[in-house]
Amino acid sequence: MHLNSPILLLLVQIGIVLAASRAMGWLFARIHQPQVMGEMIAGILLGPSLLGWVWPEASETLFPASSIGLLNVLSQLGVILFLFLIGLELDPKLIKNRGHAAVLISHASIFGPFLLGAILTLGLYTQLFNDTPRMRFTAVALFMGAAMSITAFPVLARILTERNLHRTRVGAVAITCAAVDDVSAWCMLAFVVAVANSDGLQPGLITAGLSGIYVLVMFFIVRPFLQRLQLYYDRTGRLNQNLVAVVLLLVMASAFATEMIGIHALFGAFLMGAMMPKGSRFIRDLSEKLEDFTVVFLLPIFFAFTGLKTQIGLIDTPQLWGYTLLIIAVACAGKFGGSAIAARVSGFTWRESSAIGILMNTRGLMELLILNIGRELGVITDAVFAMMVIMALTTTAMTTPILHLVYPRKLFGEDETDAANIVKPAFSVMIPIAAPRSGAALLDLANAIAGVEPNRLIYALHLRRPVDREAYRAGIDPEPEPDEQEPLQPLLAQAAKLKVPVEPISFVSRDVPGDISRLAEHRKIDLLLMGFHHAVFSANVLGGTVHRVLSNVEANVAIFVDRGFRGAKKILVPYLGSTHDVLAMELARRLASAPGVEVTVLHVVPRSRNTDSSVAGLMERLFVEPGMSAKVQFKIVQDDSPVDVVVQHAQSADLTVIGVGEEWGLESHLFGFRSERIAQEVESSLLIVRRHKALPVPVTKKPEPASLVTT
Amino acid sequence: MTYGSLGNGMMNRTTGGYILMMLVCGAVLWGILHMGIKLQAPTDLSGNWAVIEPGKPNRHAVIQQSGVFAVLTVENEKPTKFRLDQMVLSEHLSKTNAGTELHLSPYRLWREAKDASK
Repeated sequence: MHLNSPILLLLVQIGIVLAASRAMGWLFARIHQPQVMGEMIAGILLGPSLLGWVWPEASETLFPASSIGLLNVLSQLGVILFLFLIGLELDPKLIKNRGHAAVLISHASIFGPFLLGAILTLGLYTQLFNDTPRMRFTAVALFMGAAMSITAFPVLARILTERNLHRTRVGAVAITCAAVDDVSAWCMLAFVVAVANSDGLQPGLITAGLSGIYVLVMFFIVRPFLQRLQLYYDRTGRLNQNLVAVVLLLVMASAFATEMIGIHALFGAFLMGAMMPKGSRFIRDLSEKLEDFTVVFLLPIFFAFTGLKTQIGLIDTPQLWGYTLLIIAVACAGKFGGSAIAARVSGFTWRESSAIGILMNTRGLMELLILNIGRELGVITDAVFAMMVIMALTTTAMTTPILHLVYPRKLFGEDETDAANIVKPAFSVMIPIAAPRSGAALLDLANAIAGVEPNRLIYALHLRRPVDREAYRAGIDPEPEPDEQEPLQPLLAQAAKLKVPVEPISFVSRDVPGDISRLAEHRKIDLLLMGFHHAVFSANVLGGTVHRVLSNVEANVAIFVDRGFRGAKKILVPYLGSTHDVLAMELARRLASAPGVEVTVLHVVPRSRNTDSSVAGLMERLFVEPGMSAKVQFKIVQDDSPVDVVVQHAQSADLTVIGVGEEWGLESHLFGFRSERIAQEVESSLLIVRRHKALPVPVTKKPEPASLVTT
Repeated sequence: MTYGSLGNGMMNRTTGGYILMMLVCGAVLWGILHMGIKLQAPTDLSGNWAVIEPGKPNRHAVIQQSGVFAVLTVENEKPTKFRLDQMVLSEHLSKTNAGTELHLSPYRLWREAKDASK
């Protein structure tokens, strides 16, 4: 296929870049890596390091050298807007009100790697750099120092948020240091760019003088003007297109000014963002307007452009790989070592200090931005660029797993309490809530199951998926998000009305089934009660997330299908003899402890089999208790189609409680469009239960015989 | 000592410590730059060249260089890796006002001087 038209080619390129970026981002998120890691890798894969290597013809067709200029323009526009957003999100309070520990750690995390980077240049200069005017030792050493001392503020904030570390003191210090590092790094970079661009003392002094004038103009003219813009926004109450246009014009003007001065356009964009009035709805609206287009559309193009320029093939000798490892080691030693030692000196434990060091070692896409500037300036060679890209990817990728090892979740956050210290209630039910509307009904059912035991407890769990837009805002906001527990509000209101003891739990989760499982185990719950929502890739009740929960949770699980549930007065319990059916009967017994409840146990026996003789004994053990007022009916039906029998009998029930099982056509599958006829056709509300295989079937003491109606 | 809660005496000591740290860092950086300024990076050969072959039209060649590590890619030929030895290179490289000539056996490469090309 020949893509002769530039616009056709560009559309295909962008399509491929976006698809690869989202796919890799999704994949990396699955393996608990920051999404941006996947996006950066996608860019590398599309470049000469993979696509150009394994399929050069395709690479030449899709990304011919002549088309790179257009991608470059789009990517530069993307990073200008991105740096504006970074400046926009920068909270000066973080820098002003920081503790002494944060001051010490942030400085150490800049100076340590900066000096080590400069020292490293002493060793590498005669081996990896060329004798060009731009690659003078001073410029190279300062650039390598600045590149080593960068921390990816957005990636770090994202990691903190996803691990619920952002409200711990480790998270608070790390995010503050990252903010300071961000500002310092861009100032240092502006200086390095000025040094690299200057051919002598006089041009250097001119650049310094113009930079000073630029900063003064920003502080004393632009900043007051931006405050006026905010007043205008406050008066009109909305961010209209004219206001957005004015802000974008200012961003472009600032970037233009710094590029002309010789300290790079990105510094101008960043400073314009930093100058914007903070802590207002205006900023939030503005960043929301710009962020999606910038992050979803333009940044992947930057990653692709970076990938197209990254030639890992240039590192093709053991010696060059040795240099790469040396660069990674020096980067980690400077950033991790500097931050961790400073944190230890500031009074943190070794474990906390290590966690801070690991977090500060995250470089992410900020490193790529700096490296591209260095490459574009001619301060670093192609091989050094590739080595530094590998260093950026390695230090970012290593953050989450090493942090998990050094500072596991059990040591912080709301689930940090030692499992041994948890006082187990007499009966506890955990109800994960996804949609607010399902909360009240689930609470009613959970409360009915928990019964009237005084020491009962219901955990209402809301796991928030990380919101892309919140990536850094959530990380730097010291106050809880006001709407954090909003999905639990209907449930909590109902609990207050009914005086039911409920413990709400809410946090950000990337792995909802995994976190439900972990919490269920940690809180030693008796039952996990879930509502049913249609899975995306499955028509089944027991598919999708429900399947993953059923596969992971080491507790009894009940899936509730609400069909206008208004209390369980007539309960049907189909029984075939499995342990899940026994659990169904146990739960029915709990529900039957309320007054005026009728329970029908429906024992369906295929014509070829005999009646299960143990069922009557089981029923007696479960239902015949002193004080039990429920009317319990036992029906035996011989039929080869148990499903039809259940569907027919459920017509007169409020709630059908049934165990999972092949005979009922209720089996858990991740994907699938099997006909769960009972789930589809039963008219009553449905509670599908599964006993965890590790949990024994309890044997209750045999009571005195009481009346059972047998049909 | 807990983070963010130092007394006045400690703060003064901390401020003094910072000033000392800055001075030490400045001194170390100055030392590094002073030492490094004496270092000589390998001669820059990177960029576009013309392969001069008697009786044939010139062919295009590119040298991709990172310090002593370089790759020569001549039009329609496979890339050749080579390593720069500064001592040997001086025997193979001749610079004139018109341009630079490089003998990389079996090739004779020519690059016009930037001023000449203007």
